[in-house]
Amino acid sequence: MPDKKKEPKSSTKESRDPGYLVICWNDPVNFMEYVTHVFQAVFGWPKEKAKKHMLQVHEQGKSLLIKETFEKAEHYVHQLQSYRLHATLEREDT
Amino acid sequence: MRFIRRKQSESADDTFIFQLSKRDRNLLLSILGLFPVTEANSHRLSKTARPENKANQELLVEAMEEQRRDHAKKIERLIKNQAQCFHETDRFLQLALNGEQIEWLLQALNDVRVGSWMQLGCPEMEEARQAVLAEESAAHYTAMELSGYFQTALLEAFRADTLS
Repeated sequence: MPDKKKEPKSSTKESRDPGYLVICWNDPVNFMEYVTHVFQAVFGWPKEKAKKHMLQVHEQGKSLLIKETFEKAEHYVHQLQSYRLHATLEREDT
Repeated sequence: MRFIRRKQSESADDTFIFQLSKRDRNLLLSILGLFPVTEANSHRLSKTARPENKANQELLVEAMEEQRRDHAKKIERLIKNQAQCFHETDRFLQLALNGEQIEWLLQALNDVRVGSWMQLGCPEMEEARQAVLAEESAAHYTAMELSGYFQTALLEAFRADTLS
């Protein structure tokens, strides 16, 4: 499992701004079961919640997974991309 | 390859036991031998080009490069120590993995799957199936499908709750 203890520490004013979105985008190559598993592993979510977001990705093309500070959102994007999911970090106002 | 049981332990991590044929083992090691297939600089932190993203984009690429090096070492060890990792039983081989080992194997296999798909030009799956007919793309299609086969077998461990 990914090391969930290594969450970053917030320091600057900007890094405390919880306006960063972690979005997962659909692709035809990742298995639905795999995506569900990755959401559980990275966020520690129960299976039902992970599956709900996986289905959003599959049916709507994307899912907003979490809204966080820049550093935490960046940490999650690193984790998701280490599993080769198409996940990005976007500013809420873009 | 199939998941057969989970062994619970009070003193260490639970162990997940998989059963496979020698042919499966050879295919698994061959597929892992392709790692890495994706390029570290293919990762994108964001779809928007904001100034704060530039340095952090470099950090993402560095993190993915580090992960590649780490996984490549683990794969090398697995290939080198295959006699110890795959235990022979009467008719099959057994592979015992803990949760952490399953996670890095899933990541490495998905790198091969996604990377092979990218080399096919990121097609829809129906279109990708046509690739098997073309000599230049059949290898990418085969790698994509085989890595998917092993990923599915590994994920069975989390689906089932068979304890021994």
